Amino acid sequence: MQHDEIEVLYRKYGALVHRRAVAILGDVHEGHDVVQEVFVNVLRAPDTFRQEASPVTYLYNAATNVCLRRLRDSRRRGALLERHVSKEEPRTDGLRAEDAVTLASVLRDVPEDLREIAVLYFVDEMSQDEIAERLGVARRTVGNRLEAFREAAQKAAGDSHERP
Amino acid sequence: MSGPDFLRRREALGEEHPSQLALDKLRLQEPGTDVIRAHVDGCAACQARLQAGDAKDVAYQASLFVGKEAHAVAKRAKAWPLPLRAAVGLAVAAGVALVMVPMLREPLQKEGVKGNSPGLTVYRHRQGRVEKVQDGEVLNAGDALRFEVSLPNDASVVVLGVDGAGAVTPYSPLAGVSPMRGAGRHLLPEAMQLDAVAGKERVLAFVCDKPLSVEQAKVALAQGGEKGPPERDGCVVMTRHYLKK
Repeated sequence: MQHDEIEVLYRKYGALVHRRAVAILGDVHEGHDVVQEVFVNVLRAPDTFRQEASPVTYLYNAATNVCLRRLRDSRRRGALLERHVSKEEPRTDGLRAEDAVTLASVLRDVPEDLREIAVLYFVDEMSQDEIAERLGVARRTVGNRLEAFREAAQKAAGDSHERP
Repeated sequence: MSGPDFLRRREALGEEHPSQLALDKLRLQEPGTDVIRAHVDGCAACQARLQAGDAKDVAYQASLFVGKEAHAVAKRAKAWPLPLRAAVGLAVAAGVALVMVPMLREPLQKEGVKGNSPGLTVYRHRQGRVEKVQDGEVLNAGDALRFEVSLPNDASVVVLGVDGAGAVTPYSPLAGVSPMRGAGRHLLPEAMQLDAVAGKERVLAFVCDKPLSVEQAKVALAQGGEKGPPERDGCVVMTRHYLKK
């Protein structure tokens, strides 16, 4: 891949990857690291990227994979984010910063089979039908896993509020 | 529904709206997005979702420009009288380098700290130019801001913005507890874009010798009202006033 080609790609898609990484990991610094890692991967396999019909879908998947791996790694290290949940009214203009921090802390704690579905539902705001189609599982399975994730999130919030 | 707010927000959105992936395809003009465009044109909630993403993207791009410029300013203070615009031009030309170089995490330079008091520098990114913003200046909607603190000792830093209506927005960190930073100059990683609400704008930087959370800083701010937060052991608060139009 030529120098100017990767520059154009970065200019066009870098912000998207960063925004997505911060939404999943709840950390601006880690978002920068994810951007670097995703574009380094593109540099290593440029033909794979060029053959993609949808660069946005490709980068979404690449960012998701990097973020989920980082969540796994951080769980192994036992690193947890502080939980401070704001109490404003619900909005629908995307995941807020406080939400991202809270979501990231829950994502670190839940079993692996819940993480990707939770990212697709709460970060990507996909419908349950879209998630079922994308993952090749029954819609009921998606619903059950989201319910398990909700219970884990509510328990985590309860634990957080009970702390002194 | 009880539990974290992100659960309630997602339930409030429902199942009938395009996903963020679909909105990004529309934003980046991928083919086959006519149906998404038609939905967004008739959906205020989705227009707000698009705008929220746009604002984050602008702030991210601005943070890269400002980060590069802050380094240039630090070097220029000694020996390199490069005009601001040229420095930004170099940052533009070095687009790939911006991706590949490590982002700013360490103090820019310890010798940049003067005396025993902390300092706050505000940078503005506007239409491709990066400038330091002086106290009392006029800011425009759409300006992106980034903050640099100089610390004489190890400290935790929280930066809040307060608009004319009294709404408080965390600028750095976005949530949670700010980590301890060593003595020296630190360009904070977050960048934010000013919204279109005109009026007075205050920026407050809390510098404390123990870890401070955004929530604690908000409580201190609320206690002080218009006068500003009360003095607190181990903390210094620096305030900048701007007019936003």
